Amino acid sequence: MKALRFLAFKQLVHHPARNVLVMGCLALVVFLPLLGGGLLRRYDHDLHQRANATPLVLGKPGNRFDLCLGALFFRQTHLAPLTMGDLEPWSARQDLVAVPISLGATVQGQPLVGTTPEYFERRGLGFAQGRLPLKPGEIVLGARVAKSLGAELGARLRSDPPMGFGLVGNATQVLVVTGILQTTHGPDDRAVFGALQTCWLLDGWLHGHADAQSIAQDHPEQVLAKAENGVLLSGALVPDQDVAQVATERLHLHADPASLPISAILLWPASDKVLTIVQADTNAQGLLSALRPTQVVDDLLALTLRIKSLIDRLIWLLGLGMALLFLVVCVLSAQLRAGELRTLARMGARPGFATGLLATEAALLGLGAIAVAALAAALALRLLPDLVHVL
Amino acid sequence: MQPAPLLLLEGVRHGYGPEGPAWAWPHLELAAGQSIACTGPSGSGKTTLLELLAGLQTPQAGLVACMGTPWSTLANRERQRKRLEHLGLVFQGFELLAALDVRENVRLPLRLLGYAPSDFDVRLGELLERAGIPNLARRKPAALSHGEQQRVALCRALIHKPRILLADEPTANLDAENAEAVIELLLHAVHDDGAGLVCVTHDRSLITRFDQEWAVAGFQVRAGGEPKA
Repeated sequence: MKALRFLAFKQLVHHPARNVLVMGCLALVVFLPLLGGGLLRRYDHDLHQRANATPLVLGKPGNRFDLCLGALFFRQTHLAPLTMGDLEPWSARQDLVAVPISLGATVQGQPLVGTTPEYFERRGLGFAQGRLPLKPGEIVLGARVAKSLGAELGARLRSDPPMGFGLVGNATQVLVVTGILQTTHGPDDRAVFGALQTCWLLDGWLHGHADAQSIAQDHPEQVLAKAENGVLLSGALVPDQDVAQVATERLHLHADPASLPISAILLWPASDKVLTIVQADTNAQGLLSALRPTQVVDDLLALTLRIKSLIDRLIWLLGLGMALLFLVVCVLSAQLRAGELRTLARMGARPGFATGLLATEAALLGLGAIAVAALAAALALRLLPDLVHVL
Repeated sequence: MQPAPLLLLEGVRHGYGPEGPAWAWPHLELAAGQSIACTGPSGSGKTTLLELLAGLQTPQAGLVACMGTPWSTLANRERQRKRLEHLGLVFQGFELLAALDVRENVRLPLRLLGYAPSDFDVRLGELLERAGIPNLARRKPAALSHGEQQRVALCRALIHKPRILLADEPTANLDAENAEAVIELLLHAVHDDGAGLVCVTHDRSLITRFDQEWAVAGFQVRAGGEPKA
């Protein structure tokens, strides 16, 4: 056996480029199902973990997958908005905890989640540094966001401009980091949290007026006229809106507070009985949709598994084709080396030695391919972002 | 009691197919410490004779025995083992393994026998030295000349001190100097180790170095003479 392994190894090393190519092709066929399986297991785990921690989600009737993925994983989807008026009856109840979620805005490319302090309590989110966002314009960063942005407490981050080119488009805001969350290995690590008012501020529902006198001092070229009790500023002046510089009491709405938008409501009923009744009643009324995330996730995974099984069959076919090609390569190699193999037999190598040598070479190539594929899959799973985040 | 000859060929008839020519070799034998030059024109059956002696072919009739045991009575595995252990073969076309360097090629029989090659490092060094190629130990066959490849093939045949040496035209395509060196190596094994040697050669100038000549012609072998000067 030692002689077999030695000669097989030497033969493989003698043609490095050819054998690396063959090994690479074999590794690819092994790598694809390994990666697919690994990603799906992680997807399954992540989805279920989050879904199990969220008993019920309320939203406008529509795509239940979008509602669930948006409310639980902050996926950027266009959810039909609820209003604060929809939240009121749930907030008043004693047998459940209702937490509003507002989505849509982003900060440095990361989703900004507007919510209330109950969210942090319900999710068990601890602070690595700092405190809750108490005022409009204050934000808390998930652990991965803080790391990727290199942001620390007190950092001032600018919100992203809204999509589109509306003439009444809102300017970006400078937001102040008041806290950084501990790592949770979940979607909270990838989000920025703020008060609901911060989201409304970015959406243009809430605003404050900067002091015209100070603007006039900083930008005298923008002053059109001065009066006894004020100044007339040019319409071309679009100063940065730094909400942290605006006194909170100056912020105000020009709308009914009950009409302010939110994206979804997370419910934590006190018991399974309450949960069942709430879901049944809500869905019967038809105005809102009450979803159990675990059911939605199961349906989503069933669909994903059906697609994966189809892809697996295609990969099997690809593998079969590759195996046949590999066989051809082995046969051709044996033909090219017929002289050497005959020499071994004539010298007195035991019967079947030549076949054993070819089989050992094939096995070494196969094992090498499996090792490379496993390593590549492990590396890819480590480096690739969560599917939940991407899909 | 007289020891059995290393190789014995008795009443052998052999040919390729019923229509082809048939060789008839009534009696040939090789003793320990004996060197035999096998001569004859091309196609006269020298290589076939060598392969019969090595047990690589089975005669249609008659007996070929190696160290007292007829090849035909041995199972395939036993026959392979006997050849590996007791025979050193030098092929016409060198037949070195391209993936192995000189050192590894020479050690090949040891590996096939299951020995630890490093236990034979001293012998390896001596052989390479005697063959005049100690500086080529790490080279692959593709980087060697014909003469050098032939010397490596000889070292490979000698590394495990076989009792019987069968060489098929080891000096073909070699210049006089290389041919002399190759024959010297073979005869050294006969004289020092007591091996028996059958060497196919066309080179009349070398025949005088052997103890005996087997002249293969007309499908017969004429054994005899005392070619040594």
